[in-house]
Amino acid sequence: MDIKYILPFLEALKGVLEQFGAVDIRRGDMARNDLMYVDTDITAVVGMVGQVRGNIAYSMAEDTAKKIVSAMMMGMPVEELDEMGRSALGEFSNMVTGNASTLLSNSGVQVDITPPSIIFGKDVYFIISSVETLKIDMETSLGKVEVNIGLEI
Amino acid sequence: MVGYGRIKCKSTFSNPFFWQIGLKKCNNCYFNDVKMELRELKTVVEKKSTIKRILLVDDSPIIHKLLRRTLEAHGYEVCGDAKNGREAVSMYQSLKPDLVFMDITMPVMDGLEASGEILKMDPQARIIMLSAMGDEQIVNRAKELGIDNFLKKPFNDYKIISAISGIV
Repeated sequence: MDIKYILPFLEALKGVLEQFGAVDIRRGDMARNDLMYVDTDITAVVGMVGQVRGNIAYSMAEDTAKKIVSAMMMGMPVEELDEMGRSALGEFSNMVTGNASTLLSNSGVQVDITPPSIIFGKDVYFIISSVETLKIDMETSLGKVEVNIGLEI
Repeated sequence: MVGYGRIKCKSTFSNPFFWQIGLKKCNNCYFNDVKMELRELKTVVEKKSTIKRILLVDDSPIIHKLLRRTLEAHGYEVCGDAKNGREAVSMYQSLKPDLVFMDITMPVMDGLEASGEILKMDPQARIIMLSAMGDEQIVNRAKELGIDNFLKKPFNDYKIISAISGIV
């Protein structure tokens, strides 16, 4: 997968998290998989259509999800991920993918995104399309966010 | 006009901070010019104050919550919450808000189509787009429709209040 399709997602994630006050954001491990598979507590999936098609899944531990939601809500304590928390996670993935799609369009790749889905539960396989998936860990002060990018290119 | 001015800035997120402005005497600065500027500023403030009631349109409950908190903290009234473009069009008709904050990607009817319908009904309608999508094509479509401003998510108090202040 060409790096020009990957970097916008990482840049967008960094930009959005920084606006919510996260610091020390850096790239961690990276792996190639034949399928999109996640083994963390919570995953937000956003579809992409247009000149590039596929799915982006942002997965994280529950504690990280709560910290992200709390940061989005100006530091309000988040004890559990209720309807508002799930909405915040959906919006978070929407903001990251939306910002990434703007960066992609700046390099001449026009895409549109679908509304996000939030999935609770570990050991989840996404058999949506049989495309190679890149899993990139992003370490942040709020915890680790795994970015799974599966695009038909 | 010579001297120093001090502006105290309050923020929801941090401690108050101050700006100190030094004003030097300059040859081209006359009292009448200052009076004129103050008059212009007063007019702007008066026009700004015509925006009181705001309709929020977004399919995400968290955005309604965050926007409502920001707007109410700055003295605006949120007169309605619409979850999609279709609801926005019908609520605009019944509520007649002074301003609409409109998302783009929504089920049933998207924000661009809804804005088009609202502006067809009321060409004077004031709409600010607030979307995670911000590519040139979308921004240009919004401009063509006659949208007042286009803000990208994530947002903060400053972005929101400046955008409202920019609508005269």
